[in-house]
Amino acid sequence: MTWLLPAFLGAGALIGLPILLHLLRRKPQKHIPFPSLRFLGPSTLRETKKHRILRWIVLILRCLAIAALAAGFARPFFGQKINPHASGVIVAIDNSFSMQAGNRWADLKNWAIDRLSVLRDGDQAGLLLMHPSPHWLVKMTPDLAAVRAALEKLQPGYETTRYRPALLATGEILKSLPVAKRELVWMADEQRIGWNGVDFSQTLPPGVMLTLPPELPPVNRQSSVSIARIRRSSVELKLRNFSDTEDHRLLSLFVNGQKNGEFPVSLPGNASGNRIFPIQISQEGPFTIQAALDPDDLAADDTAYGIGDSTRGQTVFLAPANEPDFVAHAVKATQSLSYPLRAEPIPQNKWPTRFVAILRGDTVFRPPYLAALEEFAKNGGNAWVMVDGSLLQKDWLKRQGITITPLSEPGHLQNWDITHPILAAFTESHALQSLLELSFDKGWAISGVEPLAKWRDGSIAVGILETGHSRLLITGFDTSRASGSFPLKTAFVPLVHQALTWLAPTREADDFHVGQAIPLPAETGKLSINGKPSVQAGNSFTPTVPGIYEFSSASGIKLFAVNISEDESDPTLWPKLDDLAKLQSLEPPKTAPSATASVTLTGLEAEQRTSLWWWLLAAAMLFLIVETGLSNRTIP
Amino acid sequence: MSAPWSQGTAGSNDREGTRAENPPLPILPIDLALLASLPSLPLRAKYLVEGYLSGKHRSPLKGHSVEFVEYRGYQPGDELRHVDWRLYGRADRLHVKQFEEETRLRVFLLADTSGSMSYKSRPELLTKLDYARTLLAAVGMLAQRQRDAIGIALLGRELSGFQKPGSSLAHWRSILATLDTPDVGGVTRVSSCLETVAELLPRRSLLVVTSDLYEEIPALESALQRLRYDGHEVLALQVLDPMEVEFGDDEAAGTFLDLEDGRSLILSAAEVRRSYLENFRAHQAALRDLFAGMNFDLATLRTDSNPLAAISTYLARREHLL
Repeated sequence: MTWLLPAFLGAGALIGLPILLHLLRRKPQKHIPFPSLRFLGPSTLRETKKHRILRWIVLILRCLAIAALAAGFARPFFGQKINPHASGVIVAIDNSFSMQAGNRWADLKNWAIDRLSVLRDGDQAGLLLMHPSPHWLVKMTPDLAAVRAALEKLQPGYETTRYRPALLATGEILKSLPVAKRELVWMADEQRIGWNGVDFSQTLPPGVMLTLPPELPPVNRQSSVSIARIRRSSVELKLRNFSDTEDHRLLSLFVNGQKNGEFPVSLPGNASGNRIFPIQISQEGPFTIQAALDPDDLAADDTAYGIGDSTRGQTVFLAPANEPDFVAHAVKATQSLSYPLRAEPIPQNKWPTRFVAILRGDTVFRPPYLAALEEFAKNGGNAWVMVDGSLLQKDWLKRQGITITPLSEPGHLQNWDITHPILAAFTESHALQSLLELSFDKGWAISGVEPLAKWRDGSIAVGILETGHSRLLITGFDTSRASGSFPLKTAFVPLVHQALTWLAPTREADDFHVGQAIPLPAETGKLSINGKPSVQAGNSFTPTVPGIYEFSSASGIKLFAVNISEDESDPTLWPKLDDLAKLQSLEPPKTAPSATASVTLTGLEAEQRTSLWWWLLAAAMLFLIVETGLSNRTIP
Repeated sequence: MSAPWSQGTAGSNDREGTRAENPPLPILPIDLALLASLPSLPLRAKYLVEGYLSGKHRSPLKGHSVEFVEYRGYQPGDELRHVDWRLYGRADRLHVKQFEEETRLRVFLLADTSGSMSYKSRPELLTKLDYARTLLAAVGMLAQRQRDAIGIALLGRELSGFQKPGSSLAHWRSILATLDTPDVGGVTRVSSCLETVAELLPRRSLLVVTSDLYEEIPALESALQRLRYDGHEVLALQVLDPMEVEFGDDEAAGTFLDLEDGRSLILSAAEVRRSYLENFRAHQAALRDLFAGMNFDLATLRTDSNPLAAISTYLARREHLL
């Protein structure tokens, strides 16, 4: 048992007070003459003994309460006692990917292990990883063999260098160690971007010795590649050469894991630029791109990953309708546009959310379509509901919180919300006029949606409902000739095209960096990287290595490209290495370590983890409550 | 508050029918505070007796004297001194006067002077001993007024202050003096003292004993059997303080000191009340059974109650028996 604030233990001497009072007041001052005690027989005497025991219990409770209070304020914890004559060493490890250059990692690791090897029994050491934020790999421990083993086993990471947080943290940790010698072993490559933001006038705490690594050999050949843009037939890459001399490299492009092309590239010294390389995509849909330069001294940034999508336009699921199907014709008419639409019959069982569904009639609201529709809605699919008054459609809409009411007379559309993206294309054309002239023999007023257009009586004729990522467009009319002449108007095809374009699911960002939390589209699923065996994952994950990640769940397969930070590729060292030596404080330690010092970070952490003080104070309160209850039953 | 068993006589419990036919005469209320404030024992006794007499007008302690009963014809062997010669002169026949046995009531007062009798729980009350002395003086005064013989003895570790029954005024004053200045304290052996009294007293006396009767029942039983064998009549006036009866002072907590043997116990009345009362009531029940079995009378009196109430009950019953 160790105490964080042992001075409070002195308060435990107050235990003597109740004992003293107990002894002084042991015999009550009040004497009561009584004719005869003969009737205070054995049972009464038992009660008297019980009373005496009660008073002792009260005394013990008082003592315990005081002891618990004193112990609680002294903040006890279970921890190993530290020899104040020992050394404490923290190895701060730069786990950014620049450490992979050449033999840096191996050299620096061996150097750090050498530093640890001088420690003896009673010393303590810890390993602290700098990135993405300072955190213990091995906490401060006297088990030096374990520390060395962990360091030997450690592999370089793919993080980005930031030295300042680690510098501050290690300084404070070492400052609080009650050891004679405090040493910070700085296992880093002194990259320039790492030291950015460090105030060199602010030294480490006095008494903390900063041990910098030996000067590292320069990186002779270092280039990097990253993906700037992916098109259907090409990929634009950003190539950078950090060497002083021109470099000739071979670039390989892989599509969906298969080599798609190989290109020799010439990279001028200390230059960067974007270049476009052709790719061959044989089928539509998402595809992966891997651009790899032949390895140089820092191979980690010689490969870049990306996700492309060869899909052109949007595919639409069309619910069955009576001939002629004007919507199908309108979709077909968009083939020549830059964003063409394609119509497919709506499947019975599964509707991927990358499609847009047009819901009309009552067929899609019956089994087996209904289950697929519910799953589609649950997964965030986008749909257009053309109200035709069928009962099943009405019921389904009601379950979504939308009610429809038939108009009592022919309806005329007006009050279009021209600020909405669907109508953006109409504002500069005569087509807007045709929208304002639309009238229907049969129409339904909609409630429970945001209005896009209204009937003449003020009720909603066209509305939208957006929940999360899903969109629902509802028109209070259908496109049959029986309802009106809308399909014959000039605005029909543009409106269908704009509406379905707006309903087309947007591509979410799928390019991420190492250390960046990535949201997953489902709570559970399987995640694999670069085709390796998958693991269970859900909600989100934080990648530690670059690559193509594939997440498969009930809602489909989602691809993510994870790359490393471009800034980290620059191997330039901090220009003035003398600055680093300035971080060492020349002042002597303000408080010499003493044998009584017991405040340590490990102790503080241990105390905070155990929270024994809380339990002790709670016990003290309990003792006092019981004591109060019992003392009221004793003779004063 | 008085418990049901705190008044009345033990002997009367077996004669409920008799009590119903001869209820105690109404008595005037007694001002206990005034009684306690009276400066001397004779005054207190007189205060009680006057209160009693003003309610009854004649003494119930009527004893036996030389009383004519009837004539009968002379028979050979009769003593000639019993022949009524005047009747012979008129009737010319010899008749003999027949008399009741010539006896006087001998009232013997016994006062327990143990340390426990010096107790009073409240300032306004009499101590148990003062209460008992007043009672005995009152009883003595009643007897003295009808010329009965009165004796006295003090019950302590040993019997003391013994005075044979007598009926002179000087004797009465001597008895009052004995009652007025008893040597109080220590442990009393009531049983032993009663046996001594039995040795000293002539047969057929009325023993009026005031005590708290904190005595072992078997020992007391032995002494009472002896008295019964000798033809004595015993009226035990058990005098108790309200605190002894109820043990009801919740504030009473601390070191309890036994007034007889000086023992001490640290306790709180509130805590031990239940067991105390159980033991106390068991003792009282045993006493009642003992006295009832001996056909003696036991009256339990609280020092905060009218002392005449119990005596009145006893005397009413006695008058009926006589």
